[in-house]
Amino acid sequence: MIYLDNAATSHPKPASVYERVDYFLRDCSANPGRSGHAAAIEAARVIFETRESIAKLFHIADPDRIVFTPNATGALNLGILGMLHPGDHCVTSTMEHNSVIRPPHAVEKRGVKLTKVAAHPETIAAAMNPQTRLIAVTHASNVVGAIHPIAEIITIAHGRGVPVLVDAAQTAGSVPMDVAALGIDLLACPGHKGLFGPQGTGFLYIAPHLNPEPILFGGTGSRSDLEDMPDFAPDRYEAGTQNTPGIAGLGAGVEFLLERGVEQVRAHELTLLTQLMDGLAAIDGLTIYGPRDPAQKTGVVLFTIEGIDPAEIGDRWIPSLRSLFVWACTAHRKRIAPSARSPPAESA
Amino acid sequence: MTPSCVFVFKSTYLTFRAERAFKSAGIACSLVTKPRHVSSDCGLAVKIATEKKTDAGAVLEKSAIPCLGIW
Repeated sequence: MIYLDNAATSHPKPASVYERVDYFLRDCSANPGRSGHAAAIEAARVIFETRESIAKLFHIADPDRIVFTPNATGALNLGILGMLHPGDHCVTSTMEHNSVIRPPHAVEKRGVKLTKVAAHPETIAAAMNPQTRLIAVTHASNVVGAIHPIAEIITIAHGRGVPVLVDAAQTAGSVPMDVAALGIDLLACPGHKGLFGPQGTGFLYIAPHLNPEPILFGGTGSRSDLEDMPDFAPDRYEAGTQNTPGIAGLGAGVEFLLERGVEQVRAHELTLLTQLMDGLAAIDGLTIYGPRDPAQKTGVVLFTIEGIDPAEIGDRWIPSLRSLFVWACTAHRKRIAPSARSPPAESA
Repeated sequence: MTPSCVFVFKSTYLTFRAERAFKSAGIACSLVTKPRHVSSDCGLAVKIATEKKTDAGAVLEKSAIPCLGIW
């Protein structure tokens, strides 16, 4: 099987990911931060090392500002709901995933105002007002793969003292990202896509100058004498037992990327994209949506074929390959998403 | 038995950073459960030989790792 649904979750993972999860579950599956015995210390060390690896990959100066979440959705909910209070205004784009749209929409009934505009610096600037407290924008569309100009958006937002939350669900691990250089205030990432971790992993980076409210409350293994959550990250936001086996696997995925280099991953992705789009463009009646220049997009290609229902393309258009391809049907069109682990020749 | 002391930090993250900094500086150490009478911050502490306490303090200062206390 050639798996082409990497925009939803990556497959296959590097072998080290499977091995790390297996090792953790078999040999040190204790609860991190809750005890001082050897297995609990090892579990806590796994989380510490994964935090450090993520910080290195994204050029984050303070690894303790990386908060583990169950997925990017959890990270986005924390970043958005933790930052917005009644009377606050949030600007987001019309190209967002529901994990960005739904959290601020849910609190509109509590007095939060939401404006959705095109993901361009000028339109976002025009939508801002004195009550704007957050810009939430995706780095790249999960539908057409278009990469948005987050550097310019951040510059405009910071010029007015407004923090920016970047949803890197489609770019983390496949597009080089320097959090420090870009000045990203909040970065939400899934662990199970381009970072090659298991499902059930993700994280939110919170810049040191921000102090969002926690949205999850419970035990942290620290300051147990207090009924309030601890006042320091990451404990303030990580209530309950962590998905330590998943985080162990995520650590292995991130180490794989550190060894290979995200720049090399991106180069491989561009090769695949070029092959794929050239091959698709030669098919009569096929329309590709979104940027045609691979340099302007992530590893996502959205298309339709005239006269064929997108849901049936796999069955009717290339029946001999039906069992060889796994892809997604998105926005009533067909989406193909290769990854760093996809072989070039077969993908074309 | 060599007299020992424990360094206590605010978070698990800082505790592991301190352990790594000590080991990098050649100071033998181990992670232990924090003594009960110490505050309830992080559940772990870093144990070292008392004779290395001054050296360890210098390592923490150089590494910019804040320490809550030494017991």
